[in-house]
Amino acid sequence: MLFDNIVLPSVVIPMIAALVALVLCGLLRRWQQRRASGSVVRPQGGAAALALAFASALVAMNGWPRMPPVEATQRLFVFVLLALALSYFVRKLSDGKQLATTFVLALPVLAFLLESQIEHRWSTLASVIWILSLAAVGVLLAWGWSTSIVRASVETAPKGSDPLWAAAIRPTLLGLAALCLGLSGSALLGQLMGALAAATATVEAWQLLKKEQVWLKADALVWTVASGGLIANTFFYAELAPIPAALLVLGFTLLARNRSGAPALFRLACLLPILVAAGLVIQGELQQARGGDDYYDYGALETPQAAPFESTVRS
Amino acid sequence: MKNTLLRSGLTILLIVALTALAAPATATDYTIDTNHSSAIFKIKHYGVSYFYGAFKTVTGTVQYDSDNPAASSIDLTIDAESVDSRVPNRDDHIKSPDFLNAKQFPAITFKSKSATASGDTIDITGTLTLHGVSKDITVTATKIGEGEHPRSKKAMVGFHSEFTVKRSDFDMNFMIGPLGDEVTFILSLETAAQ
Repeated sequence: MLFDNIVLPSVVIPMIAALVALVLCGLLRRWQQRRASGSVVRPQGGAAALALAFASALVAMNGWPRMPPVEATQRLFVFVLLALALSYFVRKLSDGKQLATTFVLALPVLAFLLESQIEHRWSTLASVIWILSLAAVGVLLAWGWSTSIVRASVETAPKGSDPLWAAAIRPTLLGLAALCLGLSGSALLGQLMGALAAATATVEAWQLLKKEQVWLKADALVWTVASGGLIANTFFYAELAPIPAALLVLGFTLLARNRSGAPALFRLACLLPILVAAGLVIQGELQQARGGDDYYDYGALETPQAAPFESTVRS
Repeated sequence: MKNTLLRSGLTILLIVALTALAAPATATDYTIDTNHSSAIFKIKHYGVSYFYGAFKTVTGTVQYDSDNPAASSIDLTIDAESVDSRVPNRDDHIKSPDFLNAKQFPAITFKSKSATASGDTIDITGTLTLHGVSKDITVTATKIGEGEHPRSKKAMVGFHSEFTVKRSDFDMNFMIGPLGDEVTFILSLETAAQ
């Protein structure tokens, strides 16, 4: 059960999908280079790896989404693939315009993901405030990711820095985020975040082994839609508490400062928000005493201690 | 002249009487008594047993005509947030996007479209909306009894129905295997005239 229902759809399948995306993009890039056209947009693979890993994991776990999609998670599937298509146009824009585009695109994405909140729970003013605020959070996520990947792959690493750090940090943070979401009431959303971690690990390993830059700044669009959408879904539709949710966003924003050349203590401090978020979620679950060897088994096979039977026979 | 008038009068009376007899009896509107109604579901767990859970809040209306049960109709709403599996954390999980996604789709509804009856058994075709997906299904309901509430003196009628749907038909595909695809609903409704 562990392999078939958890490891296969949220680790193995997304890794294979990411690898396929990287190989195909590599072949396409080589073909385009051979044709030597200066103006073509050469696919690097990072965005495709993330998007295809996310989509394949969702299909493996939840089947093909209904079209037109009704549920927020199904809509996220469509938005991630749209973000992949748009990222090839966005990459031509300057840094500032890329972030502005992220903000503008986040507005309809959030409006569709949170449609039921807007219809049933929020006033018009509250809806406007929520959507604008969350779009701003989306820009923070995009900035953290794009700054981090460009620094890691383009800047000359200072002497003595560990190239493994940059490769390890993003999958690790995503893995911890997956733990937070998975322990917040929705295994599906947690596993989808795990799929992003698996895809990111595959891309980082590919970069290390092939010694080529795979991530582009524009890939932040796919990353923001996928990760931001998952955090929003878990916050609004499952049980992710506000403080861990805010710490996850802070942790991913700090990716921008978390680079291989920075002092070790500073780099570890940048990990702190997500570690604290994971700690809070785990502590919350321990307090609720959700037992059992399997988190979603609710204490299976643990027989509760029965109260001692009081004899009604008087001696 | 007198005879003609008398004959015409009698004819009119006869027509009125026959029309009154032939007119369909109007169905009575009943309200579902939430506190005396049950909505239970069962689903296979690990392929070895059935797990039973319930929804605490069932509301709606029933139109029922004992002389013509085929004219019956029902408009039923189950509050998805009211799911009760006896373990609070499991309730949260069932309500999460993994299954019901109760915050996005707070209501499970069934609205009848047509019915056929044979004695106390009524086959009702209607639209079941679950997890944001609407599908037409036919369920069989049995009238359990009719009577009068001892205190309010309102007419009462009760129904029982058991039907099975595939959750995958309603886009609830997560963990099919460890948890069964088929979900059986058992509805027992007590209603009182409005």
